Amino acid sequence: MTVFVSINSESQENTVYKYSVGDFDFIYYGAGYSYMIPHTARSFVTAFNAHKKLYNYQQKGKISVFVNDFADFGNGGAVAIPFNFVMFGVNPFDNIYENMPANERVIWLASHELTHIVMCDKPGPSENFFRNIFFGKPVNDNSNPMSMIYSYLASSRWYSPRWFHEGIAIFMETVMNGGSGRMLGGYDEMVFRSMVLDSSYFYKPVGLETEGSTIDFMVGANAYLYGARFVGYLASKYGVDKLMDFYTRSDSSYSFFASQFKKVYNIDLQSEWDNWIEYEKKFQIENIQEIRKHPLTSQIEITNKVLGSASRQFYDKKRNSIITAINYPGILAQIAEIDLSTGNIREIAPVMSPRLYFVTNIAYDESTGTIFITENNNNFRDLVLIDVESGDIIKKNEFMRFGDQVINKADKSLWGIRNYNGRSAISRLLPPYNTIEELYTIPFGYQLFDLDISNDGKNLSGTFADPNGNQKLVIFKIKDILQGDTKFQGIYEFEDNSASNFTFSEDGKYLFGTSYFTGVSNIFRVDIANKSAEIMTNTESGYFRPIQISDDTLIAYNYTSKGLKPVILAIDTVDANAIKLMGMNIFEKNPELYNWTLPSMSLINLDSLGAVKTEYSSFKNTDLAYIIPIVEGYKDFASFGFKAKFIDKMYLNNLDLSLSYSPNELIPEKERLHFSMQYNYWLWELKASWNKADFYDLFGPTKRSREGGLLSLKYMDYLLPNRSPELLNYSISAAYYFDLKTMPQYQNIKINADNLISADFELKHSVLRKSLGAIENESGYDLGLSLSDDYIDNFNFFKVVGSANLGYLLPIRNSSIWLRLFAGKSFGEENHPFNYFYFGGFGNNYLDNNDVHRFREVYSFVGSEINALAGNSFSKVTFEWNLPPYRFLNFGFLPAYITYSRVSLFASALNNDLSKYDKSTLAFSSGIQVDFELSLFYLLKTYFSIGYGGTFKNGYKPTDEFMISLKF
Amino acid sequence: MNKKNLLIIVAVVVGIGIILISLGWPPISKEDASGSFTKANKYKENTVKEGDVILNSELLADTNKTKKAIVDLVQFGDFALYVKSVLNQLWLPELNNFKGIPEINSAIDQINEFSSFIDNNNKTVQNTVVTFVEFYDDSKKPVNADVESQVKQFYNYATQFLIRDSIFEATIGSIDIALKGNIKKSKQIESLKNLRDRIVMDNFLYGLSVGDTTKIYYSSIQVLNNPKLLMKSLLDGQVKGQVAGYYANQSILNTGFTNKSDFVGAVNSALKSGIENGKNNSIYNFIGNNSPLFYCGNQYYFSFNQQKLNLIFSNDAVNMVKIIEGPGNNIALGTGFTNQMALGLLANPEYFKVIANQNVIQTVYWDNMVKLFNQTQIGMFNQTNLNGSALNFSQNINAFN
Repeated sequence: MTVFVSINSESQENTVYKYSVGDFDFIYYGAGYSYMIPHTARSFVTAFNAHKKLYNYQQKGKISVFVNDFADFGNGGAVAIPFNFVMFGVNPFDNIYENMPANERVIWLASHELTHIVMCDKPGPSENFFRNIFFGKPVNDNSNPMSMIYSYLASSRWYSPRWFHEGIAIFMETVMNGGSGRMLGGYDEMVFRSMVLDSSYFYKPVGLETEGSTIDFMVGANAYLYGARFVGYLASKYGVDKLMDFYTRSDSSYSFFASQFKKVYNIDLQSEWDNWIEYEKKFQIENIQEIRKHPLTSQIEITNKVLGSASRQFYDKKRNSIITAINYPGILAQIAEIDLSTGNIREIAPVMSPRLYFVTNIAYDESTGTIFITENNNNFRDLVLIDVESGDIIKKNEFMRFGDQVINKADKSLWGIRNYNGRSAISRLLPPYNTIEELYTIPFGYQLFDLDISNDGKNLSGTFADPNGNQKLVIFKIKDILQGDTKFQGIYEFEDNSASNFTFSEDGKYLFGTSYFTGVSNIFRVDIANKSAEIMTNTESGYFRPIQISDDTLIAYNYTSKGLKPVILAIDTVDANAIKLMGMNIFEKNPELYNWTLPSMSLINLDSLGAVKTEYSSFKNTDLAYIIPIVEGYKDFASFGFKAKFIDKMYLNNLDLSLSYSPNELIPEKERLHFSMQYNYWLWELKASWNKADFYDLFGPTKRSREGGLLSLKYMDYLLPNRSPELLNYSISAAYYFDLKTMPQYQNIKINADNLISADFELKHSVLRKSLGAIENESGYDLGLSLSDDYIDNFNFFKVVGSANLGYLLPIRNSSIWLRLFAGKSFGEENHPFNYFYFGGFGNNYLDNNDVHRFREVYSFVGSEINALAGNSFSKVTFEWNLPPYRFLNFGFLPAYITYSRVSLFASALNNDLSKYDKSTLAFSSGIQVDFELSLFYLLKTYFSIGYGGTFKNGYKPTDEFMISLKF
Repeated sequence: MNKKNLLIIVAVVVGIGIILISLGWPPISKEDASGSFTKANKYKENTVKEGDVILNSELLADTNKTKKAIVDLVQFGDFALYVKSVLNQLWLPELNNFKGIPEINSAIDQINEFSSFIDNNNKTVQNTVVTFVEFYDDSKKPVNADVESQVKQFYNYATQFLIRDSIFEATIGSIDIALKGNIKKSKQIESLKNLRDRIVMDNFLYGLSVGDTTKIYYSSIQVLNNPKLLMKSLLDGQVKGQVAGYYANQSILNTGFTNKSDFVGAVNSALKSGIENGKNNSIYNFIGNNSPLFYCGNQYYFSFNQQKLNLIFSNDAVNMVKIIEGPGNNIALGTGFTNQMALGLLANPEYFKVIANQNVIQTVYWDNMVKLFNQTQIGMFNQTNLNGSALNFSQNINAFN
């Protein structure tokens, strides 16, 4: 209707805008969420003013804040090199298990992310010096590893461990927001209490990086958890002044964080970390003793398996089983059925895009055996209907942006929350679940989550959070919502604590759910009529997601340090004591922190700060990021020069220029000057070079430098945008080479022609998955098709190459096998050098920046010389077994350590002439490669690889090859 | 104190004791009771105060956009009310005569729910209009008002309205089932069938209003019971007045802000004049580039979304009233008699014995609408398909004036 078009068109606009105010440029798409830009600006300015004062920080230039709606859940991120840049995903956060506070999210996120900017950007004297030398802050660029050193010199604190950054950011988010932060979170308290209960290993600083933040079911979250605890411990033990001295980069501070720690606390970091662990254990034991003053709730474990992360669960009476989604280390995320009588777990269907804490949103219609899950969970969510018996997908509605769904048993409608443009709306789909109706848009700043519907289909419950994060259980009448009446009834408020995952009792008179009211996530039963709550459990760890399965029993998840465990509990009231929150020690010992609460953002007058809104131009906003000196290799000689980077605030417009000169007189004069340019704009890439040099040609047998010139243009695009893990993309490119002497693709093949025109088309389709703790993809497929044509000397050389990589995750944790198939044919003049495909060698250089596992690539053939095997057509098969990685808990010291090593075994067969099928065209190879990942200054990942393999060909003496390589 | 009084006192004391105990007195110490729990000590300060979150609506920053939004909101709100009026004033009284038949009861319930849906949502629309007018009028600028949330809620309403307008077809379906059931009296059957005719026509007109071709088609293929009576009822001044009066009473404009400023008065008068007089072109001027969503409310809702249907509303359509109110028993219904492409209503000429122009009939046949046309009394035609015969057709119609 006309009226809809005119109003809704506001949100369809796709112009990029820049809203400049004070120290910030807020960049955003269209007008869909423009309503919150001034509020965002006030929030960031308010938080930044406080940071500047506390840390005596002055920002140079502007901080770009990219306000976006790229995902259904809110998110944030900060980068300090080459420019200060903050990502802000506008939608509400997920509030699962209260791992995040539910208060007004913009000011909260601004407090957190701007801490990162200040910590990473605030320079000391040495950083200031190098920033002047480099005209900015260089980025670690693995095409020239010298840039790693430059980057560290100009932005030393950026290269600190993640726990260091997240610890202080969580501290600041908590104190700046009146206690609404993870420093006082019940979830964090539970994690460490459970570790003490389970006698789990407490990671050391190195181990936290190598294993703690990568291997267990919490993966990256451990950096936040450990960082927050350690920083809280420091603040309560030594006071907040010392903490500020430790974190604040100043004229007298050390650039390396661990050195500064020693200077401030007069003890080395490792030793104090050990002291914290002892303190933490003692603290938790006291809390456990307090809990044990009342009898603990007894439970029956449904299965002895710990499920890792788990979704909402549903009880199917007929099947006597639980339907849920799980994800624990060693398996791929999946929807599972757990038999209540045997505890056996059956995989129903995969979950392709799991979320860390809750795997996926899920609802279950027992009467039809239909499971409703969301996929594409990290972007715009799809709604997928799955048959419980077969696991088959019944229906998939893409980009519904809908979740937290629940079935109304009365009419089979599916209710949930839809998120976009920074807003949430109660929405529903009627069978057959094609059309979504948004029924009630929640006012900005408020949140509604954890929905449930009573069995009679009359009431919808949820947790309603106000801008201060106060949560209360509320009930809407379904009929009222449908008739446009959005008033609701407040049932129970857990004051400033969470009210999580409440579900209706069978008779609809009660709601069962959990709250950290006592500091522990216990189960509560809320009487709807009387608006009163009773506590049902007294646990040492924590319970989540209770659902009633009979008159006197519940099932729930019990938290353990390895993940969630489904248990059966009796419905009964108990007594429970409150525990102490370690975060409270910080405030009690540093009462000045009560004054760190941010002032009202409404005090910020944007007009007086000169707020201006303009259309964003990536060209006008492109600046010089840095200039660095470089050393490159040209053939076997060194060349010296500079590299400059220009980039805009949105990273849309990127220009890299390199210019170097080889002084060695053995190089013809015409070839001594080297130039290369790469320009990227959106999906386009333009390259130009003259006598291209390459740093890695200084080390090892593989040469990428080439004489002559190149001009190329490439366009790549996604045919399936935002469909992770599924990718379908293509690229088209054309290149013109001139003054050539060697084939561009094959270093050892000389040619006589001067000019070459080539065109390429590549199509790739992949669905690749990995389980928790994986270091790379472990399952799925990757298909590729490449069509290319080289035009040289009036000849065309058209080539087709196809590839298929198929992987399977073994029952051994993080171990996979792969079958890799390749085939290709050239259609040009036979036996011409350009018509051949060439094979041979591992392909790794001594120093390298390409993929570590080059033996997987089509032209690799381990044991042979590079380019030694050639043919006009070929087929190749490789079988590969990747053994589980071994993670080192403490191999190294703080700025440099080895994170893991991993062994790969492989065997290949090659037929380099498909017109024949005899032994003369067949070659076999097998090999082994061992990789070590090394971490330098936490963010600089390098890989040391060694490999050995041999080639066997009928009638030829076997050849072998040893490979050693350091990859940046 | 005699024994009797003592017994009475004892009885009263015991009674009071029983009552107090049953009411939970004396209170049980929370420390001793099962289910006692204590709150963890946690620092919490409410940092976000009322008015701290200041949002911005670009809609409000632009006077023209605000003005247009007000008009759109009022138009849609009134359109919804008009639909509700039709349901409540025309359908319900008739349906109430058949209470007791399960399908009819269900239809009545659904209509009542639909009416409540419109009423509740129109409160949101009214509030939004008031907010917009206050901004526009500069009389009050609540800087922290989440205006776009209100607009979003309106959008939700409009979207739901379009989904729930299946109430037309649902009611027709309920009547069809009821007619197959146990209604014995032929008079009652006839009455229900005539109501069905009315709803089919209402659905058709509604379909035109919102540009829903599925609805138009649905109504087109329905066989009417008594088209003559239907036309008569459409022209019945009493029924028209009943609906219009009911609707006018509830108009979205009755928000209490009418006299707040000249602008509000202007909004009212422009909208009202547009509604009251379909021939008045001022509504076009007021709305600007957008076609009227709702039009000619006093007579019929002969309007449609021109953009969606890619059609241009013909001025001749404005003369519909005259056309319909043609001489004697010769009644025809149609729009779009110029060279412009148009969509309209066409009563079965053979049935009404009104149009002698064979060209038109022939054209309809040529257009493979034979089947459709033969079995229905309501149809649609397109000017471009008439291949120039429209002029003759138009002349014939004009001759009736």
